[in-house]
Parts: sequence; C-alpha cells; structure tokens
Amino acid sequence: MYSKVTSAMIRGINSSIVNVEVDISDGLPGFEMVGFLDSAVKEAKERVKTAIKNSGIYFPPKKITVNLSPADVRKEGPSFDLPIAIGVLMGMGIIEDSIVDTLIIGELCLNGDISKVNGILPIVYSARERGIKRCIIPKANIEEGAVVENIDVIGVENLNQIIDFLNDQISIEPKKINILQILQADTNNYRYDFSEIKGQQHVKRAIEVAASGMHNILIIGSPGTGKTMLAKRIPSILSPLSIEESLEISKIYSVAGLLVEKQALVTTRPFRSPHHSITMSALTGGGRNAKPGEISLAHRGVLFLDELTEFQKNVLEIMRQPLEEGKITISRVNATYTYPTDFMLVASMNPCPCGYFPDPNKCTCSPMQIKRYLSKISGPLLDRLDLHVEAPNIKYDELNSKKQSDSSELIKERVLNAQLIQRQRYKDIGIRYNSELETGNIEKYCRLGDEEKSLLKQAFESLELSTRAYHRILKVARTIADLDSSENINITHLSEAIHYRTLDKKYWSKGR
Amino acid sequence: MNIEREGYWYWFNNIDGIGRKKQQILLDYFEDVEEIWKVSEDSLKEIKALSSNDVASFVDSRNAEKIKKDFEMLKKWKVEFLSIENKNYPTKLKNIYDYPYGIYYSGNYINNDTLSIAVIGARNCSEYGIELATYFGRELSKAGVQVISGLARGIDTYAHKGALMSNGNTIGVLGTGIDICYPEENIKVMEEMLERGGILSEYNLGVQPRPGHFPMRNRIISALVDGIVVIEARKRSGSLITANIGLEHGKDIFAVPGRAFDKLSEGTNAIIKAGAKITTKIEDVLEEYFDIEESDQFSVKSRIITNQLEKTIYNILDFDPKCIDELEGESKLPIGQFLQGLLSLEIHGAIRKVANSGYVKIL
Ligand SMILES: [Zn+2]
Repeated sequence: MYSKVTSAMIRGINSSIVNVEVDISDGLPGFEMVGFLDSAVKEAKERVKTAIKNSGIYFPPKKITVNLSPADVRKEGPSFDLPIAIGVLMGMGIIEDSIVDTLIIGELCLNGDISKVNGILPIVYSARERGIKRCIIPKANIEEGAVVENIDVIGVENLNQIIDFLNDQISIEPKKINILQILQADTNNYRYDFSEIKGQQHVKRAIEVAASGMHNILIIGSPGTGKTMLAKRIPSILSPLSIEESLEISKIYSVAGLLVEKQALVTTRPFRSPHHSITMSALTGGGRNAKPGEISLAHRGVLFLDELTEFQKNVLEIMRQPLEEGKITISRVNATYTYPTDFMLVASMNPCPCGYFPDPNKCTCSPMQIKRYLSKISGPLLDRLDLHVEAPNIKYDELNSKKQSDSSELIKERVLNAQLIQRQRYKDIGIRYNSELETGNIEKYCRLGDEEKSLLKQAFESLELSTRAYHRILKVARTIADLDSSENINITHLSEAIHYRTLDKKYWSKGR
Repeated sequence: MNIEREGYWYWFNNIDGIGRKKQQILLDYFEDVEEIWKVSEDSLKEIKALSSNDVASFVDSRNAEKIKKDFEMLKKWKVEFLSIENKNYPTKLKNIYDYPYGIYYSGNYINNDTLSIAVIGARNCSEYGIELATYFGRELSKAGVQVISGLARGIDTYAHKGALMSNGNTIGVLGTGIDICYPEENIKVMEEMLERGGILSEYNLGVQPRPGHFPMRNRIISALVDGIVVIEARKRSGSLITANIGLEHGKDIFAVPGRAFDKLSEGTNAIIKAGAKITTKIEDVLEEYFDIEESDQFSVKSRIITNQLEKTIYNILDFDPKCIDELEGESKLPIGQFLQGLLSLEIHGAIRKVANSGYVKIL
C-alpha cells in the first residue's frame, strides 16, 4: 500500500517542499529509508516505530519503505518524524483518507508526543506561497506558524490527536493571530533608557547620528567608561519594527530555533552581543546543522562586539563581506545558503592592552604594545566603522551630573524624523538609510558647496585622513544634515562628520 | 698613520673584561695605547688589577685582521669611531674624569662652540609633558641652541622631534650600539636624527640595551651640555640621576614645575627644592647665558585667532587636556557649531587631540 505526505525542509531562511512516500508490502519485515538522509533523519524509523507502538497501535511486521524526495538535497534533522509516521499510518489503514493540500511537520517523542521544531515560520510561509491550504505543526510552534495569514495552521500535541483529527473524530480550530496587535503591544518595552547614563554627551550624540543613518560606530574607552551601557541602549532609540521587518527577523529566529513557546514574532529590534570567544561558524552561520549566525540574528538590529580587539582576527575579517553586502553566503558540500545580515555594527574597545592609556600613572603599556594591539583592527574593517568616538573617563561627568540627559524617547523622536527624511528621499532607489548609499549615488545625494569642499580638502591634508574615509564622511554628513532637517550639507554638518573620523590619526597613524 | 692610531684606540676600547677603570690603569702604567698593543704577556701579568682571564682575552684581542674588518663594518653602518685623540671628539666630553677613550658617532658632529642644552624627562610622560618637551626642543633649537637628549621614549623623543621641527642640530646619546633602535617605535625619529642631527654612543655596534648602560649614557649627556632642563620626572628616576650628575659636573639645572601631588612632578619639584631653577619658558634658560631684553626675539608669540567661533573655544582650552564634554558645556555652543570650531582649530594646528577625548592647546 502506497501513501504520500507533504512536508518541508529549511534551506537558509527559506524552505522547500519534501515529499514523504511510504510503501508497505508483505515481505521480509523491515524498515528501510532512502533519499539522501543524514543520521538524524535515519534515526526517525526507531522513533516512529516506538511512538506508534506507545500510542497503543499495533505495528504489523511488514516491509516498510520510506523515500524522501527530491533525492538531490540532503535532508537533516528530526522534523520528518511526524510526516513519516503519518505516511506509515496511512499505509496501515489507520488513517483512512488520503491527505490533500496539507503540509505536515514535527518531531516525535517515544511516547507519541509531538515536539517543537525549528523554522516553522518560513516553512508555513512558503507553504502558502505554493498554494498549500493547511499546515499541521507541533502545538508548541503554533504561535509562530499562525503569524502567516490566509492559511490554516493546526497545532497538534500527540500522535493520537492527529490521527483523530485526520479521521474527523475531533476538530481543531486553526489558530489565528493579529500581528499588528502583537507589534503594537510590544513597542516601548525596551528595558534600558539613555537618561540613566549621566554625562557622555559626546558619545551619546555620536550614537544618535549613527542610529539615524544606521551607520556603524566604534566606541573607544577605558574600562568603566560605560561603553557597554551605552551600546545596550541603542535599540531604545531605533524605529519600531514594521510588519515586514518583524516577519523577516522572525523567520531567522524561527530557523535558529530561538522563538520561544507562545512567541509568535520577534517584536523588538535585535541586539546581539556575542562574546569574543565566539567561533567563526557561530558568528557567521553555517556549521554542521546549518543555522544563521549572530550576524544574521542581528539583522535589522544591532550587532554589538564588545572588546573588538579580543576577537580572533579571522573572525573579524570575515565580517567584511556581510558588512558591505548585507548578507552572507555560506557554502557547504551540497548546498549554498544565504542569510541576511543587515545590521548596525557597534564595536567597543580599550585604548590599549591594559585599558588605561593615556593615564601615565596607570597605563603600563609601551607604544609598541599599543600599536600591536590596535593593529588587530585592520584598515578595511576600520573603514567600515563610519564613526569613531572616544568615551572619556567619567570623572568630569560625575561632577556635572546635574545636567539633564535626554531620554531615549526624546532622542528616538529625532532619530525617527531623520529616518523619515531619508526614506522619502530614497523611495525611488530602494534603500532606506544613508549608510546604504552606493558610491554611484553619493555625489548625487551628498552634494557639497565650495566652502565645504575646501574644508574637506584641508581636513584630509592636515589630519591625515585615510582616503577611504571620504565616502563615509559624506554619508555621515548627510545624516547629520537630516537630523538638522537641512536639505543641504553645510559646513557645520560636514565638520561634525569629519570630527568622527579624526581618531584615525591619533590611534592608527604613526603618531605616539 | 692616523687611522692606525684610531685602530689602536678602537682595539683598546673593545677588549673583553677591560672596562674604563682597567683602561686607565693600563694607560697610567704603559703611557700610550701603541705601547699597550705591543706589551708582552709577561709584563701584563705584573699588573695586579688584571685577572688571568683579562690577560687571556687581552692577548686574544690583538688581531689586526679583526680590527680592519670591524672598521669596514662601521663604515657600512656610516658610523665613525672617534678616539680621544680625534679632532672631532667632543671637547666638552673631555672635561669629566671618566670620559670614554672612544665613542661611536653617526650624523652631524657636535658643535663645541654653541650653547648646548639637554632636555630630558620621564619616558611615560603626560600630554602636558609632550607639549612642553616639543616646545622646549623646538624653541631652544630655533634660538640656535644645540638640543641634546637620550632618544628614549617620552620627553626625550619629543624634545628631539621639536628640535627637528626647527631644523636645529640635535644630538641623541644612546645607551646601546648605534645600530640598535631602542625603543623600537623610535625608528622614524632615529632615522631623521641620523639624517639631520647626530647620534652618539659609547657602545659599539650590536650592543643591546642593559640597565647599567643608562646611567653611563646620562653622564655623557651631562658632560656634553651647559645646562639640563628636566620636564616631568618621577622620584628616583633616570632623569634625576642625570640632574645629579649634572650638578657634580657643575652644570645648570632647570626644572619645569608641576602640580604638588602629581607623580610625574615629584622628581622635578624635588630638584626645585634642592635649588634647580624654576623654568617655564625658554627665556628662563637663555637668560643664564645671554643678555635678554624684556621684549626679546625668542618669545613665543601667542596665537592670533580671528575667527569668533574658534576664539570662543580656544579661550577655554588649556595646555592640560580638557575633555570634549567639558569644553562643549563651557562653550555654551550648539553641538554642531562647537564641533565645527574644534575641528577648525585642529586643522589649523592650534590645538591637538589627545587621548580620553581630551584636547590641548599647542604651545
Ligand atoms: Zn595600557
């Protein structure tokens, strides 16, 4: 007896259909599985057999053959347990009718319970795109699955329940969710606020500029200057997620298995801060069971690399492509995946190995040691950090803490205004932020007057700026002008943008 | 013939185990370096100060071939050996009792007739120290003074750098061989010094830095100069040793005062208490040697800043670093304008960015 069930697998952050075919015939009893399977899929036969038995169903001694197609892609993970079991049960006649227009996915426990799998959101999403009418998924994944509209999403808890459901013994209502409501309920829930940090006006300003144009920023400062505290507050001034963004991010989190139960969507901008001991594959994605890495989990949000110089050099170098292209391509033996990586990079580092340069009473590092330390950040990577800013020691700021600090709400208002200006300006060229401007468009949107041009020329000469900094400065100046609601980039805007590149000279040139 | 004399002296300065004291004994005993070259092993043994090892290495070292080769090597490095008899041997160096019998030299010779001032201080100095060292180096040099220092990290380096800015002759005295750059980050200054100044050492090529060398080097610095300016020195630091040697040599000691409890000023403040001259500008040094009128030519002109925005910011700046947040608060300017003025001052070379988000005026 032949039966067929439709299921799916994750490829990158999308999914593709996998057909599960089951044939049950008389012959030497056995359970054979074919179709380019990894070991976790092969183990399905034990789980399926035991789960069916433990659900109180007689497992006949027959010759069972399971084929997963298409045969040219390698199938991974335990999410085929449920469709295989359903195929077997159909072949045995336990499930009476054939199943049409339905996608089934789920992992089985030995007692017949159905447990959570990764990547439900993109799977349901592409099921709808392919005209499938119904998805039966683990109950534990129901919230994220139900995010997709115009498709019935049914959550099931155990084998007996899905049998009864498919045999029309019981009915289960498809889960419905109002995305907009979830998103709106979840704005303003960020834990940290900029007003909690006294002083550091200059760094806060640089962060405001960076956030407005989604520019990458490097914060240099001694331990205790609050670099991490400042960075953690950046999401509090970023725009709320749109539905599209939320879905996009949620797909990534779904694939990574990071959506917790009852969580339908990622509703706040991601803030990821991987430790510097992170491995290459954990940062970029990939690995044995292909999963998005930290740089993709930070998509549309903030990737914070604390103690930048502590990261392995090759780990940093690999960041260059994703920073430039907003995506990373991971090649594996049988497939190539692309994960989105459009994030704002926020990096922090000490000014020297001991952290206390230039305090001569505290810093014990030689200039050579400092040079070696800084050279861990390569020129090309440094160039991709549009703004460089130093967080001074807190001494002065404590004395002046009476000065009121702007709340995140207030800063956010300014940021959103600047972002709105950008969105309107770029609506025809398909980008949203100044940081996304391509070289060809920079001259058009970042035009300078004669006075500004001459300042830029002088600055390059006397401050020894790297020529590669040129376009970065223009883009940042554009953002500063937008914050000022100014159509033109004037000398003040440009000066501030240049100012954010002047650390180059102090730290990375042959100086002291 | 003369070269041969230099050859004997070179040999005499490079015998293992024979230091300055034993050299003196040998010279007192045999009277001339050529006589020492010819002396027999037996007569050497008569000298009680020499151990049997000394005698053995002495005999071994009398190798004319090797000396020839060494001279070729020196030539390759553009280093000259100057014996005490050489006309280019710095005259002032002979005034100390333990002058070296030979030195190694590269670049410009010391001018024996011009005023020479040492500018020395802490290796691990502050931004204030950097500013002052550069200022003293630059302005003294502009006034025609030969600036001498030890090419060490910190104050020494900035004093040389300042002097190079004014194209003056500046001499670095090393505690290592001239082919050894120590500290290694000084390679650029050292190259520039070789081209436009001079470098001197009592140590032969290849001699690595050793703690004992630096006090010896300091005695040479002191010997070569008329006065010593100390900018930032900790308690019990090398700079204080130099100042003390300077006192013994009868040189003028100048000290730039610092704040009472600042570790980098403990040394300078201590020598001020002991009688060093409080010095805040080059005139304080120069007036000891020349007649200087009130409105003299050496005075540093205060910068004229015409732009109102720049002026506002310049006036709240100091020679001690001030933090950017502090400056912005005091300027009462909107952030954009404040940064515009600050950048403009920086571009025009009126101020300098230092670590920790600080800014200082350039002297
Ligand atoms: Zn340090």
